[in-house]
Amino acid sequence: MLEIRFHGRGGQGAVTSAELLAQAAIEEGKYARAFPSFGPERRGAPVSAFCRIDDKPVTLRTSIDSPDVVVVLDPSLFSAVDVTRGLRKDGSLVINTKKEPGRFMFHGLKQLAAVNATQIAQEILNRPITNTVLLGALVRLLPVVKVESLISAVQNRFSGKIADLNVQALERAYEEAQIISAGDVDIEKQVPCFQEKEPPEKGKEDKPCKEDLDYLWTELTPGCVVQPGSTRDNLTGDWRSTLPVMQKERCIQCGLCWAFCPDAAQVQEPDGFFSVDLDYCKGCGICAKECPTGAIHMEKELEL
Amino acid sequence: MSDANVYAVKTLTSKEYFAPGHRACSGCGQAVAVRMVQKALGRNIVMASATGCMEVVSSPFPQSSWEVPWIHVAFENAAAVASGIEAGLKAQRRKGKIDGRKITVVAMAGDGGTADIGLQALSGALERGHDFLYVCYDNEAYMNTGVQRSSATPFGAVTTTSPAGRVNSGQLTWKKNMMRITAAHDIPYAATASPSHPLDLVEKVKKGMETEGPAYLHVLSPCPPGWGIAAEDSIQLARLAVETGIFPLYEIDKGKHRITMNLEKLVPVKQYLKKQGRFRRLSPEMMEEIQERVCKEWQELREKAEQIDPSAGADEALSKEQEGETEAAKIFRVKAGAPV
Repeated sequence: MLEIRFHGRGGQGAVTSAELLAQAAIEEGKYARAFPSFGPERRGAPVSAFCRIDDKPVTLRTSIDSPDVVVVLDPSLFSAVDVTRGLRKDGSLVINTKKEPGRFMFHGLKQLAAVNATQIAQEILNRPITNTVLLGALVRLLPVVKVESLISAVQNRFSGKIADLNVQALERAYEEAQIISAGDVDIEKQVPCFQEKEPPEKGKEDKPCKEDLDYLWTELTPGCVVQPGSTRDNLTGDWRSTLPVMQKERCIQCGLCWAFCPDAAQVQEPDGFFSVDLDYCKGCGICAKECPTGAIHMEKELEL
Repeated sequence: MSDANVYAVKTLTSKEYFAPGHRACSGCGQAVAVRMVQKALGRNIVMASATGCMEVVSSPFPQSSWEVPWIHVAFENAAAVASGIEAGLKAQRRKGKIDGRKITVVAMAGDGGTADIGLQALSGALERGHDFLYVCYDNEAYMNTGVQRSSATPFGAVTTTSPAGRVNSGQLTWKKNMMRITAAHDIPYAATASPSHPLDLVEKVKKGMETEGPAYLHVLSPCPPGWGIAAEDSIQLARLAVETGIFPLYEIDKGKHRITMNLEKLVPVKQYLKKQGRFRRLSPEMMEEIQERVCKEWQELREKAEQIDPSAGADEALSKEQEGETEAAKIFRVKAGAPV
């Protein structure tokens, strides 16, 4: 049985990719089961999805803790979630990155496929939905299913132009994916590079940790009291795919962009103009829409 | 109208009591509303928040977006906990354990936590007459769990539990009128507000705080994923809801109805409905039915407002004053939500 775990953010289509892969496998006469796991539904929150493929009926309905393959749809997840948790020895990794893929290799990883999926998705689909792109890279790395059956699964799922564009994205990723096997490069790292901890800055050693850590009940404060405003540690800027750009000549400093920002990401500078706090701006575009003089427009953010 | 209203949003405090970094969806109308309400409330408050979208996005352990004392309680008992806080503060003050300064007690919940699950606690707290402000953020369904219908879901809206099919095109019942229910408790202050009209909203929050006894504020909160709209459109949709008369802005101050955002002419509801994915399957007949109902309710509201407070003369003076304003100033006034 082949077990594949997908990591994505809500809205990127991790659940759909697991389902498409299962559909393609079923079309080839295999047995497959796909299902997601997520908390409260939100666009942008980390989501995982699971797919099991086998020659006999799949009866397991549990989440996948020791996957053969891990597919990561979003580069920002490396620092947010332990994506390689439980990955089997000689397992495979399919990632979305614009960086040099060799640095992601580590001992125990058999092979890796890297593709700049965000760019491909932006160029073809005009939005950073990377699911079908990474499926292309996955089938290039491992012939889990045939490309043709994956394409027909995509065509069954979507219709018209959206289906065509997704097939195009899938094929391009199949062409462009960079494959690295354990024998190809010298591997120095014992753990994935994104798990290596940078030495803490001075004075910041005891900073509260990320949400994915486990807590013992003895470590909780009475009443679970936490620091006020501590979500400021959580930089939501990486949810963004478009970026508000301000033309100062047209700005009359009315402050509507600041008032209507859901994330308090418009900040007034000492000169009276407003600037965007890129740490928190989620790129919703309300400020551009509501600006009475049209001084703000949204631009695609390519440096993701 | 003077230019004061153009820049008036900047009279709001620049201090953020609802910190960024929360996990609300991109373009969340509720997050805009919460930010404004918190700015109006200031820091001398204690809040009880029912389970719902805002609780989930603002308090993933061990973090919190709140810069004020904030308690997460169960889905049904935000109003009950707020009652307890208010009684506790009263007792402590009597015993001289805290000074006499005013601490506002606030309860917040979504439409599910108000109109469905928390209705009994809310009714009890209103009836007992606790001095607190209850804010309902109405996004018209259970969005947090993936868009299930609530009793505040409007007629014709598609949710996962009121799906469109061959016969029906969404929710079959009309939105529960929480304003009438709360006003029936004879509370001193109840009002509707929308994040698209920030000045109006802030004024109502302040009125609610100053009111002795229970106050109720019903805030419309557009939800981009749940309503099927683009993230950038949420404030525009909130404004359209007001201008079409679907969500009129008014207050009931000691039994007196007052329309705070007067509309000379209602925008056709079609403009509001057509923009939303959840109303995609509405038939023209249903749209007509909604339009009729909106007109009827708007007329009723106007009658109530005029019956008690005949201020026709004031309206006339105001419209004369507005004639002189430039087109640009008018846009600002509308966008800044300056109260009439």
